[in-house]
Amino acid sequence: MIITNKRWIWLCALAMVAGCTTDVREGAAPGVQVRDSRAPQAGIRYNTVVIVDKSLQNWDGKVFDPPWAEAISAGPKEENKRSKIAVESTNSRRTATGTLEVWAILRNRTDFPLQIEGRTQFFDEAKAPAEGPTAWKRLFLPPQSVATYREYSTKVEGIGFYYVEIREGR
Amino acid sequence: MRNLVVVSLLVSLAAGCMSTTRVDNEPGRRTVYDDPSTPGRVIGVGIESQDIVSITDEMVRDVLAAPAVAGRSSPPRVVVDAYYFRNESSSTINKNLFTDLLRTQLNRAATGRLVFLAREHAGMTEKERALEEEGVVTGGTQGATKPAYGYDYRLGGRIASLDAIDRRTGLTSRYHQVTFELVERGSGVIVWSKTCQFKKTARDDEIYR
Repeated sequence: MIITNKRWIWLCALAMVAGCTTDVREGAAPGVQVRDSRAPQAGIRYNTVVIVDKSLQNWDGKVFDPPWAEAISAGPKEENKRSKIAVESTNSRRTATGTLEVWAILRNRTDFPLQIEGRTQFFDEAKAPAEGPTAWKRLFLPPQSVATYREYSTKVEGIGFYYVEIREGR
Repeated sequence: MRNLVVVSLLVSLAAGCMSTTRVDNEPGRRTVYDDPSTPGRVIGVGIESQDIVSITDEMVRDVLAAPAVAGRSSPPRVVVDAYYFRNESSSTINKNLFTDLLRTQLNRAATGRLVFLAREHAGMTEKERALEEEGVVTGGTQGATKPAYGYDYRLGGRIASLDAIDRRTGLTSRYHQVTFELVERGSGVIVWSKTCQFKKTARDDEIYR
């Protein structure tokens, strides 16, 4: 069989269509978890601080960073971290009344003053939500400076984990 | 030629199969509701909902972490209302927005570590007691009406402000100080206090009611 140019184009188009899958949208959509090796930041990591605003935490995925690089160095390379905020440390401890105090030490990596806001969600030992998110608390970060975000739980017992979210001040 | 066709077909197939993280990254439906904990579409230099929510939340957590108040073996009786909470600022604000939210959130979160007295509703219980003494009504399921409790601590505080206006640009800068204190009955000792401060700069063309 002789394949002409026209047939060849049609074959390619057919192959592309075959490669695509179409969904039929019927019924309610189930809530889904994102578990994808290409999206390692998706999901909740307990006892951590996350930067929710992309304007603050801009990971540049275009920089050459092959998977085997992580095997020889811990985490993404420094030049790939383009965040404006660095989370220097985070931890928690009990207060004198038994509530949980959570803190995160944040550093402004830029030469400009930044306003950020933080809030915390508390979970029990079974990682079930124990307290709704706190109100957003504003924090001022002068250029190249360090500031501490601090929050307290209201419950005394049953707090096992925390999750701190940081966003740009509104 | 045949090899070229096979390669082209494979590439086309791969392109069709190419998967992405399919996120519908678009803004949600428009609504008239705003998140009270975040600045809305009308923003000025006065005290706004996000200030009330964040300040109150901070106070609740701080009170429950204070050993002098929430660490006592017998739960202290507390009155939290706006009677001794004064607004001396240039911002128009209903003080009850602070004290009501503070009391209800504290009451829910304290779970017995503090006991809250409804001194604002003292007339309600007094009237019922009078009716009971006159024999108009009977006692409740828990027997005769008990005398009203006295408090251990009562909320006091102040909202203060400092304004600066640039006449050339019309910009107004307002610094707020919101102070809360728990005062011990009789001795007058301040067992807990905390101040929140914030400064806003904008054109003062918003009207707060």
